[in-house]
Amino acid sequence: MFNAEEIPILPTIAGLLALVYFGYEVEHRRSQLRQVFNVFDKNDSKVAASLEAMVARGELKPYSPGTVI
Amino acid sequence: MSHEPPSEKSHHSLRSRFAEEPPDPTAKRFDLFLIDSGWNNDVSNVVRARLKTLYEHNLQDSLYILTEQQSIEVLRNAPEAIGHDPIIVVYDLFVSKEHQSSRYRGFRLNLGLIKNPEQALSRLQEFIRFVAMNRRAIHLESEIRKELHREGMDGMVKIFREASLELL
Repeated sequence: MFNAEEIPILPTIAGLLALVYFGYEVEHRRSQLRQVFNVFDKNDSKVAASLEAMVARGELKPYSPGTVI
Repeated sequence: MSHEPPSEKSHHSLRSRFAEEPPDPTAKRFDLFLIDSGWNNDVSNVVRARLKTLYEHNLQDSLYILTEQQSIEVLRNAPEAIGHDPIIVVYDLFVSKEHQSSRYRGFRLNLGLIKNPEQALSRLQEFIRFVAMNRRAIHLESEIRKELHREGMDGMVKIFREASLELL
């Protein structure tokens, strides 16, 4: 049988909490990164259609230095 | 067989087009757009101060800068992206023969989600470097996923380092 004196409860709990926090923090940062920089999703086709239309109408021209924006 | 983009006056397609291999490094591969409705002034100023640099690193591509009004018009059609701007959207016009669909391919950088201008500048630099280094990539989307994974691993190391510094 386990002897309570053999299991350091507080350090074990602290270690587990640290692991949980670490896992949460890593996942949180990965999620933030994916929000900032990622490949297209289905919503991007709506943006593309608007941009294509603006270029086709001549409202949007390629930038060159000196262009007044 | 020619895969020249169609004339902008008739129709400007941002969809990827099949080609045997990625364009030569000196040839056009991307269309880049800056969408910025002016929410985040500090980050906007950082990006706008570097437009010439962004342009010069992508001379072979086309860079389009939307006005605030044009940005609002675009975001009206994609309301989920409101507040994410300044956004740099990159359309990859190349698709290899293994993926012969002509859907929109590319990636975006939502700089408006970053509140600190210095962090936004750092992210913009990494973005420009990524575009330059992957100009000849056959599977750009998988390169992006690799980059995200790599940065995730770097993030883990950073968290370990910060945690160990806090413990010291």
